[in-house]
Amino acid sequence: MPEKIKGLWFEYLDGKAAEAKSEAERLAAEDRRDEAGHMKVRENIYRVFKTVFSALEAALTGDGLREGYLNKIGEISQNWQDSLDKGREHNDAERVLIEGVKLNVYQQVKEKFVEIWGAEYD
Amino acid sequence: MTEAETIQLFKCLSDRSRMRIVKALLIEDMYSERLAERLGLSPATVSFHMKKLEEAGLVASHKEQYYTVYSLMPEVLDSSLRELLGEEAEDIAEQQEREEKYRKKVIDSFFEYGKLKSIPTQRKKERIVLEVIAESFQFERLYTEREVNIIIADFHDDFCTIRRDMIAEKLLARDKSGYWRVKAKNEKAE
Repeated sequence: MPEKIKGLWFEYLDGKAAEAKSEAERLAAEDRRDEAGHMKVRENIYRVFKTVFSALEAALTGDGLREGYLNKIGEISQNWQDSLDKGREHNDAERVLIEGVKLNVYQQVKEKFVEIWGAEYD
Repeated sequence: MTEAETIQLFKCLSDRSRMRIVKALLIEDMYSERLAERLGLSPATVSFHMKKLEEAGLVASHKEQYYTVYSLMPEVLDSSLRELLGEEAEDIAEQQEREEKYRKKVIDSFFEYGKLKSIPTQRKKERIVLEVIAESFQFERLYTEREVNIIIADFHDDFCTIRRDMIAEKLLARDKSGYWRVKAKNEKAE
């Protein structure tokens, strides 16, 4: 796997995590602590997706890595989707919001990853 | 309003977004999408805050066609700080309140949407969990072992352990004819 993609990918994830962290700090400073907590969830998800990539790139290369990564983050997001559906079913606003935040990050990350990979390989 | 409710109210209001929501509702009743638009928050974030405000007793909601409309509760809103702080909780009431809070905490951590996530290892916690399950049994009714297992299996797959523990905790009793729910000392039959 070219180091360039890895570099670009980590730069993107680290940048987004840093953005979320700084937004969480801004919200906390505005006494919007719950929303700050939700922003920290965003930050954590970017870090989780970075860890997943690091773990897979040690074992996979090329298209295998691309597919493996997309499958793995898809699997992880399916748990959030299930949890969101349960939350909706039980009118649990907090769970719906938090799982929604995670799924939103997943969508963004998935699209960006395909974009970066495509730009380098296709 | 109890001390715990007063604390919940203050905690709830110590958030700028929730204060802004209350301020908006002071002007007029509103549905969440409109509040979201006005305050620059996502509808899901507004719903989250509304739930907290409802739990604190500050806000009530009602359905109007497709929308959930929120309004402020005047009896809480018009309370003075002196009134809120002047409530004197008696020792017994406080003790009950603490116990109830502990019970709720245990139930919230071990149950998820009515399913038991795991059987607590601490006896006090397990007792609380078993009491919740016992509520699914009627008083003065005889159950077969199969019926008991089916009821318990709705909560957790390990119905054998739970059934045995419910007998040990004297929440259920049995003889050759079957199982029945036992009344606790402070419990009245339904």
